[in-house]
Amino acid sequence: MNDRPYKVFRIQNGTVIDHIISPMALKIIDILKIKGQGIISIGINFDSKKNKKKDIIKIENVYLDKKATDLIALISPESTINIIKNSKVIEKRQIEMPKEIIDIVKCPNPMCVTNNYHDCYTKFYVVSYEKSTIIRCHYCERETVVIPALIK
Amino acid sequence: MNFINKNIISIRDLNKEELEFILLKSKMIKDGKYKNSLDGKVLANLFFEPSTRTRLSFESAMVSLGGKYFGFANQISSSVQKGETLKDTIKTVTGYCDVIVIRHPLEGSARAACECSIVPVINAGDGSNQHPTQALLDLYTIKEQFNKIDGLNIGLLGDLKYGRTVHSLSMALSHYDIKIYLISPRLLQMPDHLKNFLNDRGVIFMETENLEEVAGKLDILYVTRIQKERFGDPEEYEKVAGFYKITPDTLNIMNKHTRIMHPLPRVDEIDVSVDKTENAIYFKQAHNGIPVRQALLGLVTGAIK
Repeated sequence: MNDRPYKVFRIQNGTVIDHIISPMALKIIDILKIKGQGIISIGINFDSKKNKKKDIIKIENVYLDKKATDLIALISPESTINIIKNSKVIEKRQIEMPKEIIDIVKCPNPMCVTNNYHDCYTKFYVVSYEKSTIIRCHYCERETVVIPALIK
Repeated sequence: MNFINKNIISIRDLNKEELEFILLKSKMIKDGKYKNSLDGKVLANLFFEPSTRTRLSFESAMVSLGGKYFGFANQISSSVQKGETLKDTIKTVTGYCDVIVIRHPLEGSARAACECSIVPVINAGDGSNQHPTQALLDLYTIKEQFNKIDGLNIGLLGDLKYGRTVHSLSMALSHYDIKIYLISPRLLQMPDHLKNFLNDRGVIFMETENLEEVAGKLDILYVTRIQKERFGDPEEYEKVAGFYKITPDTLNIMNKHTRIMHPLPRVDEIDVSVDKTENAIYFKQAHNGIPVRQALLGLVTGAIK
């Protein structure tokens, strides 16, 4: 692996999301809703000192704000964010668990109003996030553990 | 305390002072105050799911304080049959009235409704989630009977999984210094998120399947019907149907002062021979729906301050 010139293309400008729990990179693209925003390079199952394996995402010419990157905490709380300008890291950012999650997670309760009308979006409150992330539906009030399958 | 335009969606949204204020206004109404206070106010009573007591008591509450109402009693007579979304129905009806009462089989429906309404919305039951007006009339009845709520031992019996009345009532009781006994078949235990809620509030509660084990400790036994309509699998229903039946023999193992409550309708969980005993207060409880719902209608429309 050491003779590879690069793992994922370096970017001159944009956002790098590193130390993603593998293999959550594609789910994070879904959470961030950035599929249509420029060139995105994705690396999956890279070697990691911390967790054996990690994923990495580089988004060219897009500067994600903290509100957006905090959503990554839902499935990969130890990820880190680097904002790159002119090939230099101008901001290193830790992510924090958000208090509210709007229209990203699907409610697992089939009787929840949000699963039955196309004009109802979802909204959850983060209840706790020690071992796993537990969220409460703003509508049906059910609590659930966040799993990748619930990401819309 | 300002209730004007406040939505009454979940007991979770009300603090103790607000609960007590509603109970106080309810008592004042029952004592004869605020006559004709709803004169000129119009209620839209939207029942997407069958109801007897809740729907009729809201209508009676409105009319007897001088207000008017319109609405429907099932989905068949509404545009839902044509595929209209709940939000579109509410966006229309909100322009026809001063307050909306909604019952709907989907959980979270009342919350979704209030977000697109310009008039206050009162939740009259959303699936197996919440039934806040029932919880308020239950609290009112308990306070009327015992002149207090603190210090009581309260047993909640039956379908604690699907029964929305016990979900709302246990949340309301969590504001008081009480002990709760959760008595149910294993299949119908109180959902974890509600037990977590009680734990977080520091409420002392215990779970058991066996009524006899705790009957002698109770001041109130709140009996609920097994919610047949919420079971996906009829075989699961058969396993728990008729699990408990309150009879005069059950009363013999309780304290004389123990009061039996039930949100009604009942099926066979309380024998009719219990009705004539002093312990049975479930019809008084149902009648208390009037002053409590009048208080809510008056407060949220600004007719009662």
